[in-house]
Amino acid sequence: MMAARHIAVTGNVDIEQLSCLIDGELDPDRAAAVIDALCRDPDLRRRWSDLQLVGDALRSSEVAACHAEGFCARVSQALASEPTVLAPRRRRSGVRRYLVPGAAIAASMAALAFVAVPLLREPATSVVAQRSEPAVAAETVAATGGGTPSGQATTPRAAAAIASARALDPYFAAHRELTGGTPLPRATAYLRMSPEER
Amino acid sequence: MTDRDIDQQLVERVQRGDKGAFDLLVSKYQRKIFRLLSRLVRDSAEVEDVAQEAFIKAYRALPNFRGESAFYTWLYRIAINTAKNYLVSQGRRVPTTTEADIEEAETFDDGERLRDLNTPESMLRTKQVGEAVNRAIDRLPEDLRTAIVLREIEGLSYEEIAESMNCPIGTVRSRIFRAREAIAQELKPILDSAKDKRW
Repeated sequence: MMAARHIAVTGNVDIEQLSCLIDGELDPDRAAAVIDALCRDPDLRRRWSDLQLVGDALRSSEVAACHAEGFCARVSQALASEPTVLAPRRRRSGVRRYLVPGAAIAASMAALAFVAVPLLREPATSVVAQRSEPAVAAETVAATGGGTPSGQATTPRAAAAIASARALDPYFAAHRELTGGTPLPRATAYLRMSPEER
Repeated sequence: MTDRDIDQQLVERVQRGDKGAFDLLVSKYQRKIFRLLSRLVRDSAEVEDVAQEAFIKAYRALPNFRGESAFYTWLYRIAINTAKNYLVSQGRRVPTTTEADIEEAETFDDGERLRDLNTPESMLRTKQVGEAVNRAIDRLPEDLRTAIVLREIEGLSYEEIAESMNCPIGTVRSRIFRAREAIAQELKPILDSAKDKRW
């Protein structure tokens, strides 16, 4: 008949609680205590294994028939030579959780500013530089070919500028025909360079 | 606390370096893994070796387990991959059965479709276990029998069983425990007697 009528107690855990744990009928704190005892006590583990076997047998004879006595001991022995696995901690403290990503964002913004600000300044300077040369040429053209009232003498550099500007006249004319004389701001700079247009 | 919660607690303990917690997971799932592997590897002598390898692989991979799926589902996939690799390494053909088919087979109650894979020995053992369970249940006093059947077969909670049997929850937990102990007494001689045979 039934041999185990009374409930055995191992440490702080009575065996009946193992049965409750298997059924998910223990509150979390008590379950944690029972699991803790199970991990420490080989005798309690053996009882747990027996109760698991009964559950398997009641649900499926085929599964229970696959029982291999001593298998757990063999796996345990094989694992003894394995290095202990440790998972990285997933939860960080509240301060670190927000401080570290915040600091990372601030550092990346500072790095971006350090690289981007000089780059943004550079094109502005070169634009000024590019614009200054045609402006000088235009001024020179205006002073000479355009017939200045003061009649100042033309420099060799200004004369060369005039010559090159005249050579470009057919190109500008063709360009204007094609574009239909669209008042684009960039085109105005070139138009200003042609003495005929003035 | 559900079954999955318990597994998760055990997993977290292993992840903190407690190897004893892994023994509990092995003892809980070994038979289901054997049953699964026997459908792939067939040779019962090899099944145990492949199962051991699968559990060791699972132990090594456990730091990466994040609990997105149930532990058993995860272990199940490791076992299937271990079996496939084993068959390939032996130059044997991997069964064309897909993983989904096998998972379906796992939940298959009477295993009718897979019966042809069973050996006469395993069929005899299954029959003996079934008879032992029935015998043990028949011998139980009625209150214990009702409690264990409502719990294991019908899946009722202790509270529902207490309501149904009109008794306190404490009585229910005691009855279920005593019924399990009695069935274990009946089963152990059968399963232990075959331990030197390898199932």
